[in-house]
This record gives sequence, structure tokens and C-alpha cells, in this order.
Amino acid sequence: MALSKLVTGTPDDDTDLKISTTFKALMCPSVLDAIFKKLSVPDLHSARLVCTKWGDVGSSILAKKGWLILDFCDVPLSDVVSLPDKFFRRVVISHLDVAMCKAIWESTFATNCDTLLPRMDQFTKDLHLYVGKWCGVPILKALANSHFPNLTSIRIRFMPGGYQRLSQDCQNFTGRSKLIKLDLILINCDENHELLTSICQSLINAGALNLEELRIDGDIYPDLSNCGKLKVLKYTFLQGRRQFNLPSLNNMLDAVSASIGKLDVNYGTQCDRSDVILTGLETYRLRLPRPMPNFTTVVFTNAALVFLFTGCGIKDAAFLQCCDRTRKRVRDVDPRKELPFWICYTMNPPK
Amino acid sequence: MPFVNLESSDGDLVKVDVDVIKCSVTINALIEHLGLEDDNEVVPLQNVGTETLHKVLAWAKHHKDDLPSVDDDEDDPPRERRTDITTWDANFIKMEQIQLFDLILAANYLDISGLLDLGCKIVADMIKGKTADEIRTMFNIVNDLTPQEQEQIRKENEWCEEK
Repeated sequence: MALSKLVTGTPDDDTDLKISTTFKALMCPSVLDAIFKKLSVPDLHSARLVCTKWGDVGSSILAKKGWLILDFCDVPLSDVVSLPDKFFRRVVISHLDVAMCKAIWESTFATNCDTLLPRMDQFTKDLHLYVGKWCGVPILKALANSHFPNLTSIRIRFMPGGYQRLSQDCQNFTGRSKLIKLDLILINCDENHELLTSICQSLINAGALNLEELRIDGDIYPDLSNCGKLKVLKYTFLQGRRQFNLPSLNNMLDAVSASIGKLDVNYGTQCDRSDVILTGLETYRLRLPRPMPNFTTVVFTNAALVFLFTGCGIKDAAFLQCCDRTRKRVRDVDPRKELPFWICYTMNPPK
Repeated sequence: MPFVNLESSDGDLVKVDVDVIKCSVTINALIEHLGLEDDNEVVPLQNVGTETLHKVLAWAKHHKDDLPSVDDDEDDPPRERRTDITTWDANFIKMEQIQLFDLILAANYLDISGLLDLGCKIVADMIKGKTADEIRTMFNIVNDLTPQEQEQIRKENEWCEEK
């Protein structure tokens, strides 16, 4: 068959030769799509106001890049309901300062939940939720009761404050096979440590099947033995009453040693001066299990001293970078010597 | 080494090493599905002029040993992308606006993602920091939005923010 017969298809939509190339390119959806993907959200806002075509193409990109940021406490959000479905893809339900949330706002919160949760249920894929006092609790309950079935990523920020409302209803989450990414952020949560630990464990168990990325900011050490696909573990220690429990972190790592590719540990404000040893074998504080067949990258932040034993198998196969705390300056480091505050250690990716 | 003949919209024939043009998904798919029976096979490209075709081929030749780019998953939220342009690309893409858009259309038609990406980066840079009015003036675009439509877009913009 002659190639010529096949490739001559897709005639120009516009046969008017007077229409300039520029115009043709800038009205072509796939070209616009490629351009808009490179714009920031504020630039997208302007671009969407240029003409109908740009408005249409821009809305799809905006729905993927931007976030619908809703404060459920403050004012009734009834007009949000009129937004097209796609804008409910990524939603932040915030209330930045729980202490400021007045009791009289609770009814506003409830009304907003009634109006918006049914609207979001099917469309939201990424959800960031602030939980504290009564705020966020009905949404956490909705999550426990298998609402938002299409979520692929969840971030929950537990704010300091009373958790009296977090009853039994919020501790048994139904399974979520679509969940890929889970961020759990616990700020000054000493008072309710046990309750929140159990909620977080239940959430992890719910998503364990396909969870690839887990971030924990706080001082909980959940059991990850069901997370067979976990590739990225980010742990930031937030100091409360307890010290950083490195043996517990070791247990978490052991549970996912077969799948993990990247480990990122931030020692937070606590700066013990000999915390990390990359021997792969020694049991001394933070220890990297062996073998870790898919492991490529380890990042330590705020660790005062990092020792790399010569003869450490990881080092031999590795490319070592050392950065300052801003993560911007990179220089080569002699791994036989002590390393400074922050290191990023990248191994050759697995074949 | 197999060759293929590309015919520009101006009617000029250009003989191209298949290895060079394999970056074009459109042409590559044809070759893979149909096979090249002989070196005289001609592929007419109705949407690509001779000048643009030569530019496309110059880019393709320079990038022929590049690793294939990983396709973006549409469902993934857009991540930080590599934004650096190599010196060679930066020099290559220095051209008049009309030629740039010709090249972008050709890259889009031939489905060459690397080249489309490069051209679109330049256009995105032109748009950055400008108001809708300034963008319309720059590209000579007529505003066909009704006041109501503009109001709706403004409202959507207001709710859908950067985090």
C-alpha cells in the first residue's frame, strides 16, 4: 500500500488561506494545551480571558493545576456549586486557624458540608483536609464511610485542638484501592496522640493495597507491612513530648524494604549529633535495611552527622551529592569523611 | 540505512534517514505498520512547507540520539517540569514569530513532542506576566467572549487558585 494514501488525511479545518499561521496555531487545541501546561496558575487566569477557545482549553488545564480552596467555616459557599465539575478535581478544605473558629460558625460549616460534599463526592481526586475541633470532622467521617471513591491523593492536616468529636466513626476506614498518595500531618497533637495514631493507621490500612507515596510529619510510626507497593517514604519528625524514635522508623523501613525507592528523613528541630549510619547492616539508630532492590535515593535533612562506613554496599554503587540546607548548592563529597547537615544520596537507578 | 522521501506542501522532495525522522510519531507509525517497500516511497506532507520541513529535520537530526521522553500521564497533576533549554535549542529556536508558529504546527502535525515542547515553551514565555488584553494585541486575537462568559471565567478563576 502506498504511504501517500494514508498520510494525506487530516485536512486543515480552515481552508481560508488568509488566516495566518499564528492564528491557526493559537486556535489549535493540542498546541494550546501544550502551551498552557507551561503556564503558572495566574498566567492561566489571564490566558483564559483571551477568547472562547482559550477559555475552554484553559479551563481543563486550570482544573488540573489549580486548587479549589474552600474555607468551610467562614461564609456559605452556595455559589461554588455552580462551578463546572472539573473544578472539583482538586479541593482544599481549609481553616487555617482552628483557635479562631468560633462556635457559631459550626452551623455554616455544616451547611457547606451539606451543599458541597454531594457535589464533590464523585469528582474530587486530590483532597487536602484540615481537621481540628469540629472542623473537618464530618468530612473525615465521609471519608471513613467510603465517600469520595475516586480519590488518588489525600492530605490530612490534624491541627492542635480538642478532638472530642473524633469518635469511633472516624477510626474504621473502608478500603481505597485508588489511593496512591497519602500525607498525614500532625501538628502539636500530643493530647490526642493515641487516637490520632489509630486514625492514621486505619487510613494507611485502607489505602495500603496501592499506596505508592506516604508522607508523615509528626511522631507516629505506623505499621506499613501491608504497603507492598510503597515507593516513597517521607518522614519529618515534629517534636512534641517524645524523642525521635528511630528504632520504630527502622521497623517501618523493614516492612517496605522490597518496594521502597526513595527515603526522605527530616530530623526537624531535634538535632542529635549521631543519628544516621548507612551501613546497611549495623543496627544503630537509623539503619537502612538490606536488601532494598529498588532503592535509589536517600535524603537527610537536619541530621547533624551522617556516617558512611567504607565497605557499605550502597556507597559503592552510588553517586553522592551533598547540598546545603536550601537544597540549592550541590558539591561533591568524600563519603569517607563526615557529611554536613544535609545530604542527598542518589544511587544508580535499578535496571 | 533505510530512507524515506518526504514531500513538502511546496512539492519539494526531501530524502530522510528513517532513523532521523523516527521522532515523528505520525511518520514512525506509518513506517512501522506498513513497512518501507523501497527507497522511492513518498510521504506527502500537506501541512508542512519546504522551509519548515528543513527546520524540523535539522532539529530531528540534532536530537536523533535523545532518549525517548516519558509520556505525561494525563491523570497526574502536572509536576515540576524540566524548564531548561539547551544552548543548541535556544539558538535553533531564534526565529520570526510566523516561522515559529509554522514550526509548532508542523511539530504538532508530525507529532514530535520534543519539538512541540520547545516551541510552546517560547510561546508560554511570551504570554507570561501579560494581561488578556496584552495577549490579544500581541497575537492579534479577537475577543469573542460575551460579558457573561467573561464573568463566569472570572468567577472560576477566583475560586481555582494556586496553593
